[in-house]
Amino acid sequence: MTARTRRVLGALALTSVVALAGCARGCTSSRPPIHINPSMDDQPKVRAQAASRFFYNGASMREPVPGTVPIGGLREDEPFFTGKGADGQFVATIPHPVDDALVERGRQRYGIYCQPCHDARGDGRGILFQRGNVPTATFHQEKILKYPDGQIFDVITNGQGLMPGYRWPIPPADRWAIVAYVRELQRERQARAASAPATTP
Amino acid sequence: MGQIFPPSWNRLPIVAAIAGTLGPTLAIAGVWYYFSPWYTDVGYRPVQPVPYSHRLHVGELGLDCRYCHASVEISNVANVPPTQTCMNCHQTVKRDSALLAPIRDSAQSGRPMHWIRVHNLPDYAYFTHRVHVTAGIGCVTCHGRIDEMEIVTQMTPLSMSWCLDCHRNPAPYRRPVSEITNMRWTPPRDIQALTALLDRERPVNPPTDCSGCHR
Repeated sequence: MTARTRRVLGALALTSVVALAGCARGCTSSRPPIHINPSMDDQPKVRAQAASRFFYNGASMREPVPGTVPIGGLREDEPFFTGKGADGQFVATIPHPVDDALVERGRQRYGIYCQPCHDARGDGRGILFQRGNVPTATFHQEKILKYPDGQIFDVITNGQGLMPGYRWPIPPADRWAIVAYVRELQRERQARAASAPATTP
Repeated sequence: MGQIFPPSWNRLPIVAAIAGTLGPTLAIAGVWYYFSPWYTDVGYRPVQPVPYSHRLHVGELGLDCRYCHASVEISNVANVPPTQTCMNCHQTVKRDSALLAPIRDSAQSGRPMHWIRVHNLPDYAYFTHRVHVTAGIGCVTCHGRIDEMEIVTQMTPLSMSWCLDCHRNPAPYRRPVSEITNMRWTPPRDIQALTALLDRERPVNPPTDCSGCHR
């Protein structure tokens, strides 16, 4: 082997080592990206949901001080925000007019938050039932058919039994939209049951 | 008097010519390839404190993105969910799983989980999810097929030129707002009709000036 071939081979070996140790675009790594020019990409400021070493629970976002009301956060309209009237009883109907747009909004929101457990038709045969064998309420039972609208709103807000409250992800207006859609589901089922020929298997 | 340059220097011009072209070419190619966010940022896949699988929860179980990332339509931030959202199901499903121990601890103590942020914009870029989502830019357009990811990985460079590619010509990236979280949506064959419809229903005019994103 001449000195020349050896040099060529050496160069080839070096190139392949670099190519193998490095990595093509798009290969995965658990290490944070290196920014060639760090610029001001990372500023000493608090961003939403960032960690904090200052506050005791490690979160930079703070909870509102008890007793304070943020702008736009005043909840005067009791029936709208709690589902209960001035007498403390559940309101019988949704406290604002129900139109197609509200039911449609309810159908969307139902698909996001309720369908995973209660399934698309409200029979309670969703993921929890299939995977965890957890009994999930069907909306087509006598008890829930008789609930006033305000009580369904209250269950969405505060939960009931195994169901936790969905106060956080669903704003009040959307909760009422879901109530409207659940009523629609029940009406459809009732109508179908009434119109179907009375055959018992 | 002897010669100043030995005969081997006769090769200097050709060697200099090759080095002078090859060197800068390689340097430019290297910077173009390796300094780009397509290289530095795409593929970031941090190890999370709990190996939450989007492939299972979204792909198999069919949860909507907004079940957890509920604020995406109303806020700048597509939130990471509070621990309670995990416990909605995991108080009954897999309640003894060792992998879920940090979730149970967090739920009990009220200390938030330390999820690691995957998609990190520079702090001087003010992105808002709300505007993009209501303008019909789907989750999958920027985040990739999350429903197929066991561990979430950054799929797009999130660089300024990448943002501007769409801001200058958003039409091919838009979809009906009802389909934003649909990972499997494909544009209809008659894309022009859809574009015309979207432009009529919700015309968009994405900013391309500095203050659009930098305050």
